[in-house]
Amino acid sequence: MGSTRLLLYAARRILLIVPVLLVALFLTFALTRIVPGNPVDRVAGPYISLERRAELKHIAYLDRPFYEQFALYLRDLSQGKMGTSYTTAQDVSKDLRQRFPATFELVTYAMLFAVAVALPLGISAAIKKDSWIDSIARAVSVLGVSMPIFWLGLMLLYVFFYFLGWLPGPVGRTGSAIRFAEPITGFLTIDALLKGDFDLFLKAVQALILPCFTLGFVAMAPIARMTRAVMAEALQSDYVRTARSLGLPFRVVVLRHALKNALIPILTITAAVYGYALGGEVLVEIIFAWPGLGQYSYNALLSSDFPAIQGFVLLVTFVYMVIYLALDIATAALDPRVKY
Amino acid sequence: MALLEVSDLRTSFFLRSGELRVLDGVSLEIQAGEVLGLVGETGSGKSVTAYSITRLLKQPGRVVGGEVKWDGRDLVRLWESELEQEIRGKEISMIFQSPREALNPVITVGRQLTQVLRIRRGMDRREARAEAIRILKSVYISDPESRLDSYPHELSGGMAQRIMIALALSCQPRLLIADEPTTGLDVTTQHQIVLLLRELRDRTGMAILLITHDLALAAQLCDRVAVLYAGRIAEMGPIGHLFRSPRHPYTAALLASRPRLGLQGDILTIPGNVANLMRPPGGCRFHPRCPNATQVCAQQQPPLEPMDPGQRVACHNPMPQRQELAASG
Repeated sequence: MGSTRLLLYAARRILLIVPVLLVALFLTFALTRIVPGNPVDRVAGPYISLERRAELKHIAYLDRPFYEQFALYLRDLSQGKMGTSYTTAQDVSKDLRQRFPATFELVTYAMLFAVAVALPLGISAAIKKDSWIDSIARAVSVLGVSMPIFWLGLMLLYVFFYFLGWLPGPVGRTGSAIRFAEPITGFLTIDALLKGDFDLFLKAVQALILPCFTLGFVAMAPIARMTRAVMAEALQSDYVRTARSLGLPFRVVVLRHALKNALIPILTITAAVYGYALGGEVLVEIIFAWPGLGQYSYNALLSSDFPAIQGFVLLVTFVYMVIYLALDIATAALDPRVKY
Repeated sequence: MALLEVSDLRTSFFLRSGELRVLDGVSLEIQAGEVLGLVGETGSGKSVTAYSITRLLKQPGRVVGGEVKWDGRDLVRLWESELEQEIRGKEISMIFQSPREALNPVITVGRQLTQVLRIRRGMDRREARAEAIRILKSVYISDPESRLDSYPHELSGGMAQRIMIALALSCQPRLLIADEPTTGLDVTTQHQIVLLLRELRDRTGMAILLITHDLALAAQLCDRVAVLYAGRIAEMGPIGHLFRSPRHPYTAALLASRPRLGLQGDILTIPGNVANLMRPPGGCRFHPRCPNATQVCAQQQPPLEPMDPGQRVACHNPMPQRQELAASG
């Protein structure tokens, strides 16, 4: 009975994605058209005839009123077309398909790294307040929040690439210009293993280490801090005292009683950081020449590449919604008091 | 030999503003199968005594001195792991006030029970389930099979306290510490819990340390009572003696300040405030509020000494013994 209700709830939430996407799209559309700057001038340059300019405007629907542009965009979208990028001259959906896996792989590994460190660190800090491990947790939190991400990335490159020479420099996903004919999952590490190309796997991992660490270190700070705070509260709670009064081993008390209660806020902040990182790790991608969404969106914004910007916002909003949907379902499954 | 013997127990809370000496030499003993009441005002150290015994004090509390003897072993000096494996749950269990908060909100009642049975009594899944149902029946929970799937927020206060009692009984302890077990429950439910505790004592022979500020509750359930004031035992003895002929002025004042049916006029109150535990008064801690206080009370701490008609009292100037009792012996 509980699981059917959960499924219905999930279905309702999935339906809700569509209107949210429409609103996000409308806002993006409006903002790009309000901001001054004519993409035709940027793309075509100054030495172009007025006729050609008008023709280009017409092809891109830019000679039509705003609402018509929006309607036409929606019509194309319903047919699976996201428009042609002004800068790459490819369909935007193809651009995104090429770039999203790079970002997704980087951010996912960085988050796994961040959670793998932050969770034990926060729990240990909550158990042993004011101990050395608590000091480390606090240092990580402060550094992660206050250190500029580009500075951390550059320092790591300086030490591990330039000075020690242990890891590849900022040259993208593999450290060399290897092209993948047919990506399977889009995760280079997994694809390499699936194809049995161990050499490529190693290269991909090496290229991932520094950007993952850079991004993961920054993502770690809020997760560790939240873990410490909610675990400290849970460990002082009455139900933990009850569990201890029954002689349950401390490990069981911490992991099965306290952590189960603390998990929801920890998951919430992890989801927020994950979503944020997917749409906003531009600096890391630029420092490490990572061919992902961050770079793509950055270039699209600079060159007023309307279809690219719209496509990017659409994709990131969608991913955000999926992450939060997963979070809400997890919350409902974890906490019996949540009504849905 | 007593089941539990607490002597000169001292517990302090170390706050930023200084050391709060909550227990200042508490001594008491509990015999096997008896119900001892520990009564006193809020802040007198009743609950702290309980949590000092099982070493479950919350931060920043710490036992700083004294002994808690159990089977010849001193619980104060036991390793945490020994306490966990051999004492808590199996020898000494606890139930608490606000039972719903004492249960884990995100784990079903059944899982909380079977988890204890599997880890502490080494049962497998099937045995643990059967035993959980049996224990729930023994605390008079109707339809125990379906209750196993309930979460604490779905239970009434009385039901939650029954579940808590079931948890505490799951490893068949010899002593149950009940910390204000009926506070926050409605009167009918209070009565049912009292009856249940009394029956369980009779059936299992376990001793109960009942912590309460409710003298009427203590009178219903206890064999003996210890009155705590500002971290020291003021008076301790059989319930009949204490209620009929209190010798410590504080016990007398406490009894006089009870609301009673048919009471004429105002309820008597004890003048002044509970002692400041950061800078407790010298000598007897009750002397600033005591009608019988003399010079010696401010200087010397009175020892706990036997007094007629059969209790122990810590007072330089005790109340006179009531006549009708003295006459009857």
